[in-house]
Amino acid sequence: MTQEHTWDDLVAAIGQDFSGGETRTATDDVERGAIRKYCEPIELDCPLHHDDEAARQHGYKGIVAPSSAIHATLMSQAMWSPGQASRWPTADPDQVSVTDPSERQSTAPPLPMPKTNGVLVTDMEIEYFEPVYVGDRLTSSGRKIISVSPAKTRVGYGAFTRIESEIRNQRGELVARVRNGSYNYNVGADS
Amino acid sequence: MADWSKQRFFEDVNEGDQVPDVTFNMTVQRLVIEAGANRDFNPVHHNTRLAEASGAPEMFANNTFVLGCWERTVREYIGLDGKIKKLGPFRIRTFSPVGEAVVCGGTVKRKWQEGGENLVELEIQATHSKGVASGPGPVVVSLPSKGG
Repeated sequence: MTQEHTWDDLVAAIGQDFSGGETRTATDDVERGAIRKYCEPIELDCPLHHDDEAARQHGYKGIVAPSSAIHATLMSQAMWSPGQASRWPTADPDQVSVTDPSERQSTAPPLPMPKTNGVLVTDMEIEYFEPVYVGDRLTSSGRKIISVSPAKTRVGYGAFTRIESEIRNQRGELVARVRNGSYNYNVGADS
Repeated sequence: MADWSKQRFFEDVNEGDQVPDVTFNMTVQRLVIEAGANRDFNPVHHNTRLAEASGAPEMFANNTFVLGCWERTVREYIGLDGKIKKLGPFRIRTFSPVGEAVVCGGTVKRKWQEGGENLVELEIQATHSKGVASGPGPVVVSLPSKGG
């Protein structure tokens, strides 16, 4: 049974965590090759990312991952794993990989907010703490509401919301704190 | 090509200084290489037809690619002993599609000392022929001091 919520309910939930205790661990350890491949298209030739000796001379234990690779690239999940159904069951050239129904579904509780039919990603902020090294394994946790600002915009009525999560390495050390901003709204609505 | 033998120090930096531009030419191959490395397989980043159907002018760079452009621009400014402390709030303003030359640069907004660190806030943005593509937004870095 879905409870009807108002934006005030979401405002009242500021500071609460809605992860349900769920965590998400990257499929792979951080690999030297993954760092190299990340640097290729941006042509980032900083030695901290490819030269262990240079990295050590500058206070690191070895090569480090670029900061901007941490929250998505080095947290990525497998596209397909052994035992799963095909992600591409037809030869439609535009087909996007389909989800295997046997995959674990999220059990995180829904946010206490009205039903909406539009969402825009507005901004992102990432604070960095411990460096990420080859061999690290990253896990993301938390889904804490940091701020909620109901507002009417030219696309409709909804709320600007910021959600905070944390990324830690296999030793439990905080690597990054990520705040994602979005605008959830009803298209064309006035209130 | 950046000269990594040179280090910028806290004392070298003043409010209003320019962070030199770095240009990233957006091509289909480059987007595909980035999508593979970054594992972002949303088709709007590698499929013209689906990108156009979504309202974009062409396949376009994903957010992490744009953030990577920011990081390289910042890293070349702060050198090997600089540290990236905080990135953002980072906002995408418009698509960065293939065929555009994305130019990323910025200015020094402020510098201060806190908790034993020499901190500098850079304001970074990326532009192309249609205007500002991302930012302007802050990147907080730390720099070494000449005094050690």
